[in-house]
Parts: sequence; C-alpha cells; structure tokens
Amino acid sequence: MSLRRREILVKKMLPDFPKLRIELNRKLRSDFEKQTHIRAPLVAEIKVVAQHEGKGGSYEAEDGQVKRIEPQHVRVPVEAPVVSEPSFMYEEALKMIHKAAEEMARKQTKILFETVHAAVEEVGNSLDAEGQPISAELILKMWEKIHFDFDKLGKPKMPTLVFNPIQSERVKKELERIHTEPQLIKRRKEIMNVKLVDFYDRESRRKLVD
Amino acid sequence: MIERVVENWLTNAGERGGYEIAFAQLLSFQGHRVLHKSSHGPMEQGKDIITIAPDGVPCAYQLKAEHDISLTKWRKLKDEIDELIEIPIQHPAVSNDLLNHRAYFVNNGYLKDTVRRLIQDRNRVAKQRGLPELNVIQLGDLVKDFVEVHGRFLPTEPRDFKRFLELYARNGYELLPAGEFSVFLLSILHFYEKQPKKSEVTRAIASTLIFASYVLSPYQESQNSLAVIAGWIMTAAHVLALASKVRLPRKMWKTSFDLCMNGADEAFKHLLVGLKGQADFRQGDPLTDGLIYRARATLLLGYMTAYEHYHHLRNEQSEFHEEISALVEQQKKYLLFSSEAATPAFLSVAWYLERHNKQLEAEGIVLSITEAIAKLNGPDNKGVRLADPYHPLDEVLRMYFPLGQDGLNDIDQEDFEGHSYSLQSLTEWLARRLRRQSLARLWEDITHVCYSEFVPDPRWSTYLWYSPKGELHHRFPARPESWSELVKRSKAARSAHVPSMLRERPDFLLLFLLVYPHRLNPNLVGFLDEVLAGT
Repeated sequence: MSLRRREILVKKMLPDFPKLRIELNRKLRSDFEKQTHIRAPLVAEIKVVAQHEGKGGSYEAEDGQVKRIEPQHVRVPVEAPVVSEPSFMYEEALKMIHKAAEEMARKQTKILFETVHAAVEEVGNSLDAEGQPISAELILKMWEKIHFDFDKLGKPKMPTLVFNPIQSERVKKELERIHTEPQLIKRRKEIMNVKLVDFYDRESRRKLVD
Repeated sequence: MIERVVENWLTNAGERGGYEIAFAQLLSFQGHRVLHKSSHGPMEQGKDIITIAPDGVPCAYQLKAEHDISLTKWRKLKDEIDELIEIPIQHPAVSNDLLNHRAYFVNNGYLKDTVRRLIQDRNRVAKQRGLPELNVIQLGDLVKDFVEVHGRFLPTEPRDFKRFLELYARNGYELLPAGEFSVFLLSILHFYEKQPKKSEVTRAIASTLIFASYVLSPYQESQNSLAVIAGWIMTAAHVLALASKVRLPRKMWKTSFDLCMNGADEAFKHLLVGLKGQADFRQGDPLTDGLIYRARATLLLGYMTAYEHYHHLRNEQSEFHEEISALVEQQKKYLLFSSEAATPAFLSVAWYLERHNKQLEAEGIVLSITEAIAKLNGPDNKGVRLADPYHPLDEVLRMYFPLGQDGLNDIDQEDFEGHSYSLQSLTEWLARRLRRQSLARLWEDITHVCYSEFVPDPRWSTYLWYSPKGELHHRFPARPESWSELVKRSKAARSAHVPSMLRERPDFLLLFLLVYPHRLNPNLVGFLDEVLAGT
C-alpha cells in the first residue's frame, strides 16, 4: 500500500504549520487505511507481516513448497487542490481520501484475485463450472477440493465465498438448500467427515518423533 | 560554522567518554600509535593516554575538562601533573626506566596567565634537572586540530546536518534512536561512495568517532550509560561494515574499532560503579516507574551479563564480577519478555547462569520465552502479541498501555501472529541441551509459528541497522519433527555461516546482538553457544 506524497516544488518561504500538518497527515493516512479495509474486506482479512529491510524473500506454503515473494508496489494518485479553495475543509479532505481508498481497495482486490488464481492454477485445483449458474452441488464440489480447518469442538472454519453481488439472492438460496435438503445434508456431512479426518491427520503430525 | 560546532562540543564535553576517545582518535590519525587509554584507576599515574609519536618518542597525556584553570585549581592537580612528568611510562612497548617521554596536559578550556607562568618556570627547572617538560594543549589548539582533520566530514547536506543537530539535541534519558543514529553514521562515513581511496576511508572512520562522541554527549551528560554503550557498539559495527565493504587492511581501522570498544567499556564501568551497593533501580517519577521497571531491569541484566561474557571470552576477569553476580540474583525475578527484541538479553542471562553452575535455571529461562513465543504468537491468542525485534522498547511498551497508537507508528498496523525471529534459535538452543520432553510438550504450539529470518545481502550489511538488499524468509517447523534430526541440526558447526568479522570477535558478538536484536539468528546463537561452551 502506498499513499505517497508528491513533492511540492514550490520553495517554502512562508509559515508551514508543520506540527499541525503532521497530525493531519497521520489522521488522514489512518483513515485511508481504515476505508481501504472497509472497501476490500477480503484483503483486510490477510495478515500483514512487515518486512523492515531488504527486498522480497520467500515463504513456505502449507504443503511445504517454498514460494518466492516479489513485492509489488501499489499506488493511487491523490489530487490535492493546487490553491486552497474557500470550501476545502477537513470533510473535503476526507472525501478525497475516501475516493483514493476506493481505488486502492479495487487495485488490491484485483491483485489478490490474480494471485489466488495463479496459485490455484499452479496446483490444478480450479473447478470449471462450464457456464452453469452457481448451485449447492457446485459449492459442495468446491469444498471437496479445499483444505478445511476445524476448531477445538470439531466445528469447521468455513471458507469465504466470493461472488458477484447480483447473484447474492441465488447464493443465499443455494446455501440454504445445503442445510435443508436431505441429500445435500448427507453429502455435506460426508465431505466434512473426510475433511475432519484429513484435519486430524495433519494436526497429528505436529509432534516431535524419534 | 564548523569551528563553532567543534568548539561547542568540546566545551560541553566531559573528560571521560566526553572527548577522550575523540582525542585518542585524533592522535592516531596524526600518526601516533595509541598504546593505552586509561581506565582511570590508581595505576593511571597521571597518564590518561599513552602513545608512540611518529618520530618514535613515547608520549603521555593527562586530559582535563576544566573551563578555566586558576592557580587554586592547578594546585589541586599538582600530584597528577607530577606523576605525569616524573614517573616513567609503564608499558611493555616502552622502556620503563627512562624519563624520555613527552608529557602533555590537555584541557578543553584555558589556563589563567598565572598558571601559564608557573608552567614556564617549572619547565625551566625541569630542563636543568633532565626531566620532561610539560606541554600544554588548550581549547584553541584542540579546535584547530579537530577542524583540520575532521572538519570536512561534518555533514554538509542540509538534511544530514539537520539530523546531526536533532540527534545532538535529544533528551539524554531516552533510548538511543538506533535507526536514525545509523543513518547519521552512514552519512559521516560517506558509506555509499563508489570506489573511495583507502586513505579517505580511514579518515572518514576517524571522523565518525569524533562525531559519534558529539552525538552521544547528551546521553553521557545524563549518565545514561546503556545508551552510550549502544552508541559505541553501533559505531564499532559500522566501522566493521565499511572496512569489510572496501576490504580495508586491518591496520587501517583496528585502532578506531578498539577505541569504540574502549568507549563501551568505559560506559560499562561507569554504570557499574554507579550501581554499586544499590538494590533498587527506580528512576524518575515514582507514579509511572513501576510500569516500566521490569523492562529496564531486563535491559540492564542483558547488558551486564553480556559484559561479563565479554571479559570471559577475552580471558579476562571482570573487576565487577561480584557486582554483576549480585545484580543478577536480585533482579532476575523482574525479567520481562516484552517483545522479541528482548531475546538476546534473556539468552545472555541464561548463558550467565549456565556458566555459574545454574543449568536448570538457565534452561528454565529459555524454555519460558520459547513457550511465550509459541503461545502468544500462535493462532489461539486473541490478546497482545509479541512484537518483532525491529521495534524499539518504548514503542513496544505503548502496546501494553491504553495510550493509543493511532497513526503514531507502524506497530499497530502489523500482525505478529504466526511468525517469530527467535523461535528457531531457541528451539535449537534447547535441543543442544537435550530438552526433548519440554520441546515435545511445546511442539504442537511451535508448529503454528513460522521461523522468520532476514538474510542481509551483501554479507557486510549484517553490521548495518538496515540492509537495503537482503531477503526475508519464513519456514514452518517440520511436522512431524525428528528429534534426532533436530539435535543433529542444532549441533552442526556454525562458524562458516558467521560473518568473518564476528567470527574473529566472539567477545563483540553478544554485545552486537543486544544492540541489533533483529540480527539474531540460529547460526549466530549456535556459534556463541559453541564459543561459550568451549572457553
């Protein structure tokens, strides 16, 4: 993320109110972060691990594969008024920041989907719906292909489902079917049982052996 | 401008740790071989610094920080001056039965006319008796010499000069702002200059010591020895970085490095003398001190035990070993693992206890912080997590108090869940001590936390605060982990993976890690384990 200040080329020769402006800058940046997260809830769910020095590196995925990290710079322009307008107050500055946050959220979400798509393609875990609309059966097929974690009571930690908002009603209806239609309830239970066994198997490896 | 800056520093500097190191560095740069810098004990015999001048004549210097020396003051100094002149230099490199040395009285102020006349008279008599004459170096001479040698290394870019002044204007009771201090050192060293001449590099290193003295003087005045120690260790590390980068021959940087370590040593002694007989280290406002006492005690114990290891690795007996032992006994109950920056302090205390036959207690300490990392940075903790070692203590402490961080710094935007910079070093430390049951009990929690390690590139950038090009790597602990593999890995020889300057100076390494906790990694900890166990 970056909300970078473009250097102002006008030579400073008049009072600049630096302390006040630092405070304002902090407030606006903090608000920018919050608004970006509101507009990109999926991105907001991702943990931020700061890299304080150097460039890039690597991480190990759940399956033990080592992946390179190539940092990407994401930036959005913020057009500050060249000359203070009579009406330019804090609310206007906030509006400007919210507009930038909207753009940043869009860019970050796009990168997230591209990254997820590349990762899914790489391991051959994608599911082609062949043009069919989303359905309970399709959702269950997707669940079959992914890792599930469970809490201490054996309750699954359900994955986030991302879809086009125009399909919202349909998705709601199809999810309801999974919990109401006996055939689908049975199938869901079978899938979850397999996932639970997988989970316990994975967890049982967290130990020190000979 | 530069004359005013140097004069201002000199007139405000005290003798010990104030301008002494800078003066020794000046002499070294003028071609003297610095043989000795006094620790100000009874064996000093009026000689703070002993050198061999470029013409081969031994020289002895007595340094004072008196603004104006009147006749009354001079009479109080008489014994020291007599010793300076009349007692031959006692040093293996100097024939000690001859009074053939040059004697210098150095003061960062001026002598009254009456004193000057007295010295002239005394010198006339000394000449007749075959004794050395007393040479005087006063403020004006010092300013002239310092400006001549180092003036052009004063930061000239407005941004660098501003940083220099801001560092100098700091409150001496704070922690040293390590990141800013490093940037300042890099600017004085002209660190990123392409293909500098070796002679220029030596000169830049010498100047860096002078300006480091200057910037550390607020901490010196406040008797904030921990900040002074950190400052000298950082300066020494930056000297190593530049020397490694340009492949500078050892003889061209060794004196400067030794002077930095001398500065740190002086600050340690000053601190230990000040702490003598004390059992309570509360400072300042009593209403709030209880909230930070444990963090301060942890810092103090880390440094004190590291100082003891420093002497041990040099095959020296610390003259303060009893004080350090008492301090550890009194204060260890206050140890606080506030963030991963405290790991080197905890390891230092554990090694100290181990070396003093308290093996179980030592292992208990390391086990407790290993468990703390695995639990606090694991997925089940919903409270405050352990910050990574890059965050300074004052920033970390804010996390524990309801002070609010909104936009103040980056720490509130980071998530420390699921990774740790010290966990691998600690598990290997325990594996080397065959703590299988304890590790087996913790292994499930440990596997939820990634081992993070930053690998500086090029290797000499290890000695810098920030390495611009290195890479950050995250690896999960093995699931399952083989105990025999873990032991084998933890006992593997490490020295080949340790940067050469640190490998040659294990005594410096632990002090370096205390100041640079983000440089702690399994190889450096394993290497320290090897050398401490082997001595």
